[in-house]
Amino acid sequence: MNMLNKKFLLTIAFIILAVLIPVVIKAPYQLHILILIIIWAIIGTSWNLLGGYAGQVSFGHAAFFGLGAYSAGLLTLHCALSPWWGILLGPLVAALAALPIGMICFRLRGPYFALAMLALGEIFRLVFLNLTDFTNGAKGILIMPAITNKMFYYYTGLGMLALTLLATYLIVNSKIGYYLVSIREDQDAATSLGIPTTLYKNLALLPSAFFTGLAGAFYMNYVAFIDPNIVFNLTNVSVMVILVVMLGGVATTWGPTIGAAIYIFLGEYFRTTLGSANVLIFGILVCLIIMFLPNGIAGELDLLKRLTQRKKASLSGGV
Amino acid sequence: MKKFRWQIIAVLLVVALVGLLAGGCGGGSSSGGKDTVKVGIILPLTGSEAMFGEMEKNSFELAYEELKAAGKTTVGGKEIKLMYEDDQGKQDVAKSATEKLVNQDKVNMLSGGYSSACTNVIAGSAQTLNTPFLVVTGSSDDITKKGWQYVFRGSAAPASKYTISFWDMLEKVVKPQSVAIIYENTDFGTSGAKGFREECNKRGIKIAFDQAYEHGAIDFKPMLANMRSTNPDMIFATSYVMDASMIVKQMKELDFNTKLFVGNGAGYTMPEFYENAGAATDYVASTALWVPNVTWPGAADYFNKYKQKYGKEPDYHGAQAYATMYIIADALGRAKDMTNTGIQQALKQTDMMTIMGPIKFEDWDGYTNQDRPNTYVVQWQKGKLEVIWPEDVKSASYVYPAPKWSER
Repeated sequence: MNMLNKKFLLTIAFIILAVLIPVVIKAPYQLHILILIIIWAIIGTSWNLLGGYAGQVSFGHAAFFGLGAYSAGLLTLHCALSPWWGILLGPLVAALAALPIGMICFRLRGPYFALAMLALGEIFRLVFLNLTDFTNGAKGILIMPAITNKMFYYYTGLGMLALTLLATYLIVNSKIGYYLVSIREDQDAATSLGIPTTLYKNLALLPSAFFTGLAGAFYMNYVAFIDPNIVFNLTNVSVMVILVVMLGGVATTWGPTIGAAIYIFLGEYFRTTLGSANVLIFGILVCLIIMFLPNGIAGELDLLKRLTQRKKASLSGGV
Repeated sequence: MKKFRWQIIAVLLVVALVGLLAGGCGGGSSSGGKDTVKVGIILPLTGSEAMFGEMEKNSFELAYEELKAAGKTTVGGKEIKLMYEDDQGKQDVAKSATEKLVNQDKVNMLSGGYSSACTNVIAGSAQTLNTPFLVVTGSSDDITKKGWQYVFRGSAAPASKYTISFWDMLEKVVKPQSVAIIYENTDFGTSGAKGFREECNKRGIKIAFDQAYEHGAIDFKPMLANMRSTNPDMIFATSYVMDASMIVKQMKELDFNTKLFVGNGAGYTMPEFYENAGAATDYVASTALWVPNVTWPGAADYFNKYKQKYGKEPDYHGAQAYATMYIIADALGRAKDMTNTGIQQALKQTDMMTIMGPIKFEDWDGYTNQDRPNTYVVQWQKGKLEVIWPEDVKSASYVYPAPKWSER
């Protein structure tokens, strides 16, 4: 009870902190970095629900991200509607696209889902690249954003992230969540207990796709330019989200958010300070973190704690 | 234990925040006070486009040194300072770089922009932030077609206009009945192919074959074999350098003869094209925005100086950056004040000669602040790139039709 209370209070403190940041940091550049962190935190949290809790690793979340982004972009291109309508449409389109994939792949064991998702992301990229009449192809969609106030994007994004975290938290701490973890740990045992595994894997995939689509639609509104090679990108979206979650901590509530914050912030920091070696050094650092903290920063807190405590102990021993 | 976990998270967040703030302050104080005019230049200095980004950065530096020697880097008592940012060839990063330069480093204007995707994003942000942006390379048509007053494109042509003198030559010399179009599936490729396709339709030239390929493909033989069966008079290809070399080499291997093979700039004019494909490049023609032996004053000088200083041959990308530096210095020298509107107006009134030809920002044909490009047709002849059209600036006569592979 006490612990739960503490956790609750800290969450409230975090929310207040997040809400107050723009009051302290008014500089648009810093807000821009925070907005990027929020976008990646949303994608990471969505991926984590499926890949972390349910253990169904997706190598193609770019498919959902891109569909969300293109839903917003195409509304503007063809219907002359504000791309903000994409915030409503994008997540639905992404979830709809996830449905058949889940229905087919989740019947199978092994790497089929990972491979199917990998293919799905690439298929969407190629389709959107070649349907030039509908999507503008590689020329992409360029819009002039109606709202340019960074504060607005920050709070909208923050609201979306809160929604994503809340939905994930509720799912994970409900019966569904326990089922998902049991499927991840031992699918045979789960089946023998009467858990309909295919159904519950789908129940993890749909919200995951939904919120990734939401992030995509928000991205289109914020960055104001997309093309298929950007939003359906295998390395810069699908693999990057996995890195973000691994850095932060797989199957933890706050892991993806921490991962996104570290990933984006360090990436930008290195880029502006280290010159041409920035990508190399950043890559080495990510490798080191993944090697020595395989459960991510939020997942290895016990280890970090033990390390700091041992240090303290030896210090006091020396004295 | 849980409590500890939360403490760690809180500490991490605070560290991240402090870092953000510190980063902000650090950047602010290092930018050198009020007696400089800052020009932010965003180029791909790492990643797959780094080769071009580096060439453009070197060319900016070369031009800057020359201007400095001539005393033109000090305007109204303030020194022009170039601030480079790396966009890694990624559009998110290009946006971050733009935000940083404008909001934190408080630059007076922006330049750079290599890939079309990054240039699109920089242009959009620059317009939103009312900061003048002079494009160096990004050639997507859209960039200057949005009516954005703060976005200027001088040394770069819109992709669909790379072909102006080439059409002149087609009309007077080649007169093709049917053409084949191949292009890489990127913004640059599709824009280029689209412009050519529309022009063919307007002139009633039959398009016998029209296909995009994936950038970085290795085996072009199926596509080339299909194309051969349609027997086109001429082939028009838009590719970067590796694909360009592969395509002409594989044409030679297939003994695929065509009267004229024309590349749409980019890969087909680069020194690496000849290095990779060797004799297969003979008689390949290309549209071009710039070649070292063009007659504009200073072009050959730039080429030689660059080669001497950096030990490599520059291509038109470098020339674009070099010319852009001169345009920037000229505009800043004329600007009434160093405000956004002051610089914007000075850029708008630009009328000067550069190694890319005369530069003037005009509104025409749906474009805003777009220079009317000078374009050329060049042809590889025994490993040398010769200007063959327009005839008044040619360095060699054209060879048409190209001899068959077996007769070379």
